[in-house]
Amino acid sequence: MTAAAGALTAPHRHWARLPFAGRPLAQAGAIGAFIVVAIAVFGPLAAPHNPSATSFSDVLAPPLSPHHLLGTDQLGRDVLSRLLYGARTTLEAGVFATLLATLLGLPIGVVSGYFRGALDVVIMRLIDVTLAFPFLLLAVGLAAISGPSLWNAVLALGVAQVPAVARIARGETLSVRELEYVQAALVNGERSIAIMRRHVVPNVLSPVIVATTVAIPGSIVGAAILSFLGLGVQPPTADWGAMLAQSESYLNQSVWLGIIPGLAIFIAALSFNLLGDGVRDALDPKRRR
Amino acid sequence: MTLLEIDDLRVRFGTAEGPVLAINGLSLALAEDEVVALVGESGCGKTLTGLSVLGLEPPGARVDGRIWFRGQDLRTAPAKRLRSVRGGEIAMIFQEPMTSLNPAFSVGRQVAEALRQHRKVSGRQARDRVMELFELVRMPDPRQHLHQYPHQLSGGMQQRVMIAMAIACEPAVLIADEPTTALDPTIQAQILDLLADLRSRLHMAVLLITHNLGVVADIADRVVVMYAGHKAEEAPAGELLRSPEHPYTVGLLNAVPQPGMHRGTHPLTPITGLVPVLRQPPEGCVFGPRCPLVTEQCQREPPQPREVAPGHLAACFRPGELSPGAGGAEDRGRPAAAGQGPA
Repeated sequence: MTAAAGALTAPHRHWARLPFAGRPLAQAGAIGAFIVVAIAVFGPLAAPHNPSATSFSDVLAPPLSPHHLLGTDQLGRDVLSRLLYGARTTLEAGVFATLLATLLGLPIGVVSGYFRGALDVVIMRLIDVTLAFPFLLLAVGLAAISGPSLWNAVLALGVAQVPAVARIARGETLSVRELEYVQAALVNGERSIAIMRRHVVPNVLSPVIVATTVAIPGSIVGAAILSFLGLGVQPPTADWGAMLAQSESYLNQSVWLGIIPGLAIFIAALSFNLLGDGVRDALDPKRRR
Repeated sequence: MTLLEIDDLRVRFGTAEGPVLAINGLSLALAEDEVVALVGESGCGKTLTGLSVLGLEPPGARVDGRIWFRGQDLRTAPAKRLRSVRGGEIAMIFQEPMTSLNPAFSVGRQVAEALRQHRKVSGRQARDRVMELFELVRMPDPRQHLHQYPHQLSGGMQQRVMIAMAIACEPAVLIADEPTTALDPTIQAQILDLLADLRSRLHMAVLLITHNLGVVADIADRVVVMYAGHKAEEAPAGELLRSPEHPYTVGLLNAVPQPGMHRGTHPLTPITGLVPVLRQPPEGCVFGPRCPLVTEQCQREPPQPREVAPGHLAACFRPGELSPGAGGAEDRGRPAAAGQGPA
């Protein structure tokens, strides 16, 4: 569809058919997100050092020092290597939390919007309760029960985002269920469950996908926050949020220890945000028709 | 032989301002192979009748009466039986082909799914059958259309797909809810022609819901005229168009432009006033407030459909007193505003 839009605006220039043609911000976001994902996938292969290897002769080295392009931390670990390894954990937390939210929120919202009535009221009030429940408290609770870990952070973040997804899915379902193809399916004797699966979900998916793309940077930052508070990834695993947290005590000696992971989080979040905006524009029916 | 019989159908909605009787005691019978047209203004309960037959009235509606189909009352039939009737034995097509198809799937797949809802067939057999159906509804290139998406087809083509979907399981009854309203006049004629052809080929009974009397003249055997949830008149199509008995039918016919009519010499005559608000139906005859023949009796008691000629029923105390072309409606002294009522 984006290719078609590109073809309409500039049929003869091949480069214009790139995704998000004519939207440089979205393109920048797509490139940034692609780089972040590439680092997450291939980063460990490119890392010059073991990210957990300490070297006490070489602590708090500034960036651009020999052997350590981005310097070392308080334990002499190579910051570049930790950054490359940390991309994977950080991204995992962001993507899986959002995925979890979608997998829970989409069916909840669709069922709620499709059946309406009392069921809808009950589900939506439960969603309101979830919305009012501070996700940090949930994360602390989970950490208290089963110890802090990446997956507990993902679980807490995912549950915290369910209301947003469920609301969007419900709103879209309310409008889709009134369309005549849903009526036509009923007239053809299809069951509610089949109608939801075949007719409702595919047609509410695009706004939900947009919402989740926009939610990924929130999850990344959320995961960083949890790591920062010690509720997420545990040392010595590299994670951008944890790196930021550990840099705190050394900020007056080596400010780059905070700046580097902070910048990485910032760039990743910004890229996914811009990408999300681009996806939203691309799937916007008003632009499509 | 009667295939589908609607017996004293009443549909009522509870609203904040009190109950609204949307359909009030409608009875009609559909024989095998017969085309019955259900005619009336927007909002008089035509579509609701169609949906109620299939048990798909909107939530909040209370339905009384019986829907006899093949010796069974569908209103009391179990949900499973009802699902097999829907689409399998009674199919329905809608007014808006553009929104009646799911934009997410190819039309071939949608028709195949409609088929597989009721028939156990392999994917291959389903595909062959869809091709056959596409040929039956006269789509120019069935093989190609199979893989097209709804937005790639014109309105007329989409309606053909809808019809293919509806007839996929060779239903005994097709409820066609204004199947041509959203289409261009030339396409309308083609679709009507197609429906008439399919009906004789597949021996389907058709309940044609329409507000277009031209459509009625084309393919209907019998006509039921509805007004504000009531049956106003019922007659064989030719007879109804030639000699309408109910003043409402006369009013409808006077509002249809005819070829050769001239603005100056034959002004179209609107029916004055509006369809009554069903929350406060008038005492007596529902058409009373707009009727040029209204009497005290009409305002006191509601007229029941009575046989005025063999096979010709009219719910009126003074049937046949108003003849088409007589005007009559305008001497009520209330000028009708253009574009009144819901479209």
